[in-house]
Amino acid sequence: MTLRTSRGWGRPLTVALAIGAVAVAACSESVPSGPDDSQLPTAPVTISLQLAWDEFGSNLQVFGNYGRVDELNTALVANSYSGVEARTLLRFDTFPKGAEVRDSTGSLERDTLLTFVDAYIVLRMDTVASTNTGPVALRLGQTLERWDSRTANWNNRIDTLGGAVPWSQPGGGAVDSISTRDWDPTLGDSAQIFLDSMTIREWRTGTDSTRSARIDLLAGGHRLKILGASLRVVANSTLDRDTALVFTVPTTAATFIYDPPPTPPADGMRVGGAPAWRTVLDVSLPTTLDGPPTLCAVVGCPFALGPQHVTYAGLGLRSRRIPDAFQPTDTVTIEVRAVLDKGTLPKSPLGSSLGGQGGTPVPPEVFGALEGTLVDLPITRYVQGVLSGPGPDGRSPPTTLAILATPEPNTFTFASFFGPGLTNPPVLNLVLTVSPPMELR
Amino acid sequence: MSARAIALCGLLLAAAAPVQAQSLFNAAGIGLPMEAVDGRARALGSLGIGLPGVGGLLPADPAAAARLLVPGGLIVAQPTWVDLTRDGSSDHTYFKGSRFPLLAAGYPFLRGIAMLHATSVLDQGFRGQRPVTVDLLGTPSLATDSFEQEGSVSTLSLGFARMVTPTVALGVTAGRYAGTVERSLVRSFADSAAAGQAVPYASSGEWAYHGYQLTVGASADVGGAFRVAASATASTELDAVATSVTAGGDRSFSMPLQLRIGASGQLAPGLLLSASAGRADWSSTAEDLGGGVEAGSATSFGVGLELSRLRWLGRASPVRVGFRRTGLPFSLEGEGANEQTLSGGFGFALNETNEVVLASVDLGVEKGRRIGGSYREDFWRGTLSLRLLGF
Repeated sequence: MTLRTSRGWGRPLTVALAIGAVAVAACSESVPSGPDDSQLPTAPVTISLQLAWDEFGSNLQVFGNYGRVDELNTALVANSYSGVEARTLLRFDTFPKGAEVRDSTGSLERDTLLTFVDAYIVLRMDTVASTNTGPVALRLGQTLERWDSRTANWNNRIDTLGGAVPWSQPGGGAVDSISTRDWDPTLGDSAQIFLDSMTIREWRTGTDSTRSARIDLLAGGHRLKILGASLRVVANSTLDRDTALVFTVPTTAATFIYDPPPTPPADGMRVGGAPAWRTVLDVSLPTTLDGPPTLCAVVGCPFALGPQHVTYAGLGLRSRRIPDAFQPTDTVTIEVRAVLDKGTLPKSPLGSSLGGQGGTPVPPEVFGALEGTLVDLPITRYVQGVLSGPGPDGRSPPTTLAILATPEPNTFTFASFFGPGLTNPPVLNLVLTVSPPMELR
Repeated sequence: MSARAIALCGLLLAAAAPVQAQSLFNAAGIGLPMEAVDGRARALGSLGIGLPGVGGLLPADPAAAARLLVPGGLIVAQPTWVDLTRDGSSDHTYFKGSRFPLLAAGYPFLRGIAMLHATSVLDQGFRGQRPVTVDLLGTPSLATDSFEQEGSVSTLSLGFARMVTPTVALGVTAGRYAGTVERSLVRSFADSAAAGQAVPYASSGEWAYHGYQLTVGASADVGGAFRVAASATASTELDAVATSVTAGGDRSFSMPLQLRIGASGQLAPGLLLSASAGRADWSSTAEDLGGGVEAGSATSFGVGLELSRLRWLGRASPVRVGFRRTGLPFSLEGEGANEQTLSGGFGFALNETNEVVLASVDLGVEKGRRIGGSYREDFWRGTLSLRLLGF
């Protein structure tokens, strides 16, 4: 018998591959999607709950003195503004020793014999945060006492631990008045206060401590926020008398002192300020719930609260009116962070923001005319973590939280909220989503 | 056993017939029953029983393998394109998918043929969405429930077939159900809800399927021009066992006794007529499902013609046409559902020895519709199979 065998596989394989391509064409899957929800499991129930302070919080405390005034990039002057006085202290670097100047022949030479003919301090104001609508008088004076920009306050020019050195008189000691100048916010956001020739010579040749000035607000009942201060000096060159040179002398220290300092609140909650305040509280979450009826109707009560049920959790705080002098003039950003080592309070390290990056922005008016506004600070992931219990390392999440304004310090003003025992105490807002266990059909 | 045979068996075990979703009817009842047939049977509108030829490896006709005198293997791929509509709506939902509904192998053993089948049984994948409005801290907010079910039921079977007389063959296969299904529901909230801090809620469960089935069949050649065959498949309950992290409970579902008959005959030289029918009563399964699910007997039948003497590129290239109507046990709206297709296709011999086809591909193309209540799926389905003999 003779076997008749087909020849090579080349052409058949080509056909087979072409057919195979048809099968591959549908390999990118798209799962069937129903046009309605008739085949979906029972819808979960999402409900909002509010736990009273006694049900979740305890041991509320307010701590202060975080950060320093000179860490702010702004300064303040006030004169009897809601009972608050504030003055700004500035210290400047040395005057320039020389400059490259073209002489009468046009060649560039270094002139070390500059003649300083004029100098003035430029103050740049925050026209929104300043309270005056018309001109107010500012006075520039030369301080006569050394001061420490990191610790100086209304009563002490140096206030290190165990080494307080008071001013000769509270509020920055005595000063030699240099000049005064009006600033009108309707004409611009800057004020120039000129130095006299004697002061110019003294600041040019004197020691570092002599180039120190204090800004006072002479007009009563106002508060001005200073965004920046710089010293400009004008010099003539000996190489070319027609050349006037303008230099900006760096500011080496800037701070402000104020009186009276805010005292710790007798009640309530406070965050922000400079130095800053923080509010600390202990949190204890219930593991079972006996209500409300809408929840019990779905899953039965008592209901074992688990981390998977928490859709949202937020500390609900009601804003409280603040004395005008300390009322915020701009948005306050508030964060909630875990206190990592409660035993070392008030210096305990803190965890990262529980509400995600950026914190919760709160408009300034809620601490004034809109007192009582609900400010909700999200702590969802934290609550889920607490309900989850100890992590793989066996450590339980911290049960103490700190509320603070960031960056810290950011502004002289602070934010305040009603505390436990007052009207509108803090609450824990919860949004829970629950459903019966997923079943197979 | 040759190295190629071992390699094919390894492929069968590794692939285990993964199933991908191809119909919204997957959402109905316990899922959409699959039929593990090849491109030839699809093109003929057949249920895969009573077809002549030497390469019978279809699980619906276990006795047919007895005529397989040499080792053989079969792999089937099946792409589908679906257009879903609903009465009263002009919206169309399109989806597509591919599956491998059958992998089979046979090898001579004890004067018969030992068989191995990996087959798809039920397809269960689908997803859906439900927009809802929820109260978030006193503010109505938009949320979306997204549900997804992924899963399937497959079987892995071993069998044996043998000629008991020169014209009568018997076959039996025993298989084990396998597969998992995962159901997950996620409620996500609009970005504006709770200052964008609302965390999605998720609920899920996963179940693994277990159970056994037994298929027996017989086929006979009558008068040299006709083939008749019948088979029956009985199953234990299909147990769905929840995994340890699943809060939901275990379930068990009755699986119906499936009966099939098929016949084919030469009407003229090179012209084959085939017909087949099947029936299964799913009412017990519906009772186990509860929740108002209705199901009854599902009857299927199909007929087809094959012109077997055509040649293309010098090789055997039979052409087929067929019609088929399949009763679906479960519907999305409690009413009866069915699938109806017109089919066509061809085969192509890749390798022939002495007019015996040792390697071939078969392509079946179906244009069909699936209707149940107000739902309608119009689809194109391709079935491509590769058959190898004598390796």
